[in-house]
Amino acid sequence: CTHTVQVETKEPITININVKIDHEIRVKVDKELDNIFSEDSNLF
Amino acid sequence: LELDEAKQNGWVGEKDNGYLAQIVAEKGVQALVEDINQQRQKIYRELAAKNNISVEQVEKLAAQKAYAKTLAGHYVWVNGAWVKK
Amino acid sequence: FTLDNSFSHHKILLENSLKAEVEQQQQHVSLLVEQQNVTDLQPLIRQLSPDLTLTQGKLNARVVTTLNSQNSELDVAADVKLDDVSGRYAEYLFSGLSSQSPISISSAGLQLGASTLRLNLLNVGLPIEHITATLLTQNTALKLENINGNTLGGQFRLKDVWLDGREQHIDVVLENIDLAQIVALQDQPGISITGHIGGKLPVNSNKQTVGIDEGKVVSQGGGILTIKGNPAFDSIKQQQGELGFLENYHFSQLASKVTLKPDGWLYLDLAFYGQNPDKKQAVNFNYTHQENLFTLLETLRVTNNIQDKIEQNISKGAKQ
Repeated sequence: CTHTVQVETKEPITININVKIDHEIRVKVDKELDNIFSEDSNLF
Repeated sequence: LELDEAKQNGWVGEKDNGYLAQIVAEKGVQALVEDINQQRQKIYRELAAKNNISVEQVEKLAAQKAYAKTLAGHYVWVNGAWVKK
Repeated sequence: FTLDNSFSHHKILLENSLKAEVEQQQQHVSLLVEQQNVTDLQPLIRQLSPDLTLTQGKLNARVVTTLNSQNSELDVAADVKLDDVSGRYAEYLFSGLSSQSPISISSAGLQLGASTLRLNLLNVGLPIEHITATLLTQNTALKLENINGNTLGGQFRLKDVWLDGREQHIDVVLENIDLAQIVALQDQPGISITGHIGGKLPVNSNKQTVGIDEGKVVSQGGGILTIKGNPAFDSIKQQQGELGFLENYHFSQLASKVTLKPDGWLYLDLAFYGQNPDKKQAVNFNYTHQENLFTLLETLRVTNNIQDKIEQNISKGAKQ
């Protein structure tokens, strides 16, 4: 289905978003969470 | 009241947001859950700030970790119900 | 068993796993394997390919070896049929593999006649389904032709893929790929999108790795992007107020460049043309995305496994 809505719109503006996903962070956080959820932790 | 004892008796379980939750209104369980969750939240906030990701993302990873490490016989919250692993 | 010129018929156990019937007549020896569980062949398979483990499926094979009187070599003609085979190759799970291949081995080497290969599911972290291809050899090099399949709600097809690890260029054509399923891979709360894309990805591959140079995909028809309750987006919005237009963004066109470096880093360069109807504001939205595809797929495999393990343990636990 096409979405051509004929509505008089203001001068177009430009939005830029740049995203970099760093999986290394997920791996790092995952390791740090290991301590909380280990056998001898008093929080788990 | 010790956390391991509470888990063993099925009074508390791991929720899908990385926190502990009360299952049974036993004496002292409420206080234990609040204390543990407060300490966990403090660590989650530190981890989020240190790695500039959101606390929710840390909590999500914590939940996956808690589920994976939950011992057989202890409880986890799955699809809206307490399930014994 | 001995090879004499009389007729003989034996049942043998090869490598204590392959159960077969052997018939010998003059210089022909034929081997018949019927409805053999591929799981019994695991010791044999591990020698052929240590990364391959088969968990289910049936093998039927008829192998005729003939003593070639001219060059006194053994010519082999075989028909090998696989039914609904599942298993794992390295860290990739597959299921529903079926094929029926005419094979011949002679002084000219291994030859595989063109035959259809079907694979219901290949899970590389991202499920790829209903794959069909023609499997054959061309001057003894194993090759796949006319490969088709479904993924991310759409279809893909490729012309030729050599399986001998050579340097090759493969054009992957995509159609009707569902943007919502691409976004779902990111597991970002609060972002929803409709619309489909298609295009061509020029893939270069060799034994070690794979890459895409100047891939191009475009939207087929428009779509709607809505963002509501995404922590990362909300925090950027505090500095860039106009991001609010993207909370309900109707785009009529989307085009994106796709580049995949051999180290796995994926670069997407999306250009949307559309507007926010509530505020009657036309917006050109450029979104660039950088992510290591190999680690993403690995993470998806790991998280899928965690989910599978939990469900498995729980279903087992619940039964007791």
